[in-house]
Amino acid sequence: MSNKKEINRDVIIKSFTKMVSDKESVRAYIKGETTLKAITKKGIKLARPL
Amino acid sequence: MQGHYNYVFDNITDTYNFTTRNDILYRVAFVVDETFSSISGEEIPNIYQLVVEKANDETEPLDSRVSATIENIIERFFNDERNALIYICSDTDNKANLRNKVFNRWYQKSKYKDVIFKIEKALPIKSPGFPEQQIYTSFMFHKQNPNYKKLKEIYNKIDDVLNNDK
Repeated sequence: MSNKKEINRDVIIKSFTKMVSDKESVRAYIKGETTLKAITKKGIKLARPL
Repeated sequence: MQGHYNYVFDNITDTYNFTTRNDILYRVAFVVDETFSSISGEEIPNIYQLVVEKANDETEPLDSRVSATIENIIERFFNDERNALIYICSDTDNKANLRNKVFNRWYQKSKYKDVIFKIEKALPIKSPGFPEQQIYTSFMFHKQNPNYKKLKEIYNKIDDVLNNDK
């Protein structure tokens, strides 16, 4: 396996782990278990695309 | 078929909110997602993760207007052809496969499937210190999206690396 591929695999796993973690954080936020400030601190940005 | 509920963007919570006839409050969040940018190494904007959740744990009786409302939100989201949406079902409560099937069924019935392309993949994710978990992902984008080829290529590459290169 090349270094490039190893890096890609690590980046992908890290990115998807963050994606799952972000979703759980946002679900907790919606349920009032954490604050907007707390999730913003984790680098989560909520958007208004409509 | 009944129409959707009215929904509004709440500037305080940064979510789209609607209340059902059973007085249950739903919040819909669009999370800016930088996964594709991180993986490809180039900036790919307009990708969001969709999170739909009830504000409390009350059980919601079957209400077709809820899915009609979410469908309307997604339809409006894709009025901007550059937008893309990722929806994931993680297996934290062993219901990921079920949620994934519900989402897929919704898409199959949707009148927008002719213009909104959807690909789904189950990805095995093994984080350090945690057992491997299967994550069901659905990726949706408009068929007129200017980054169509690039998005599809990256998504397929993710699948290739995770499923075929262990």
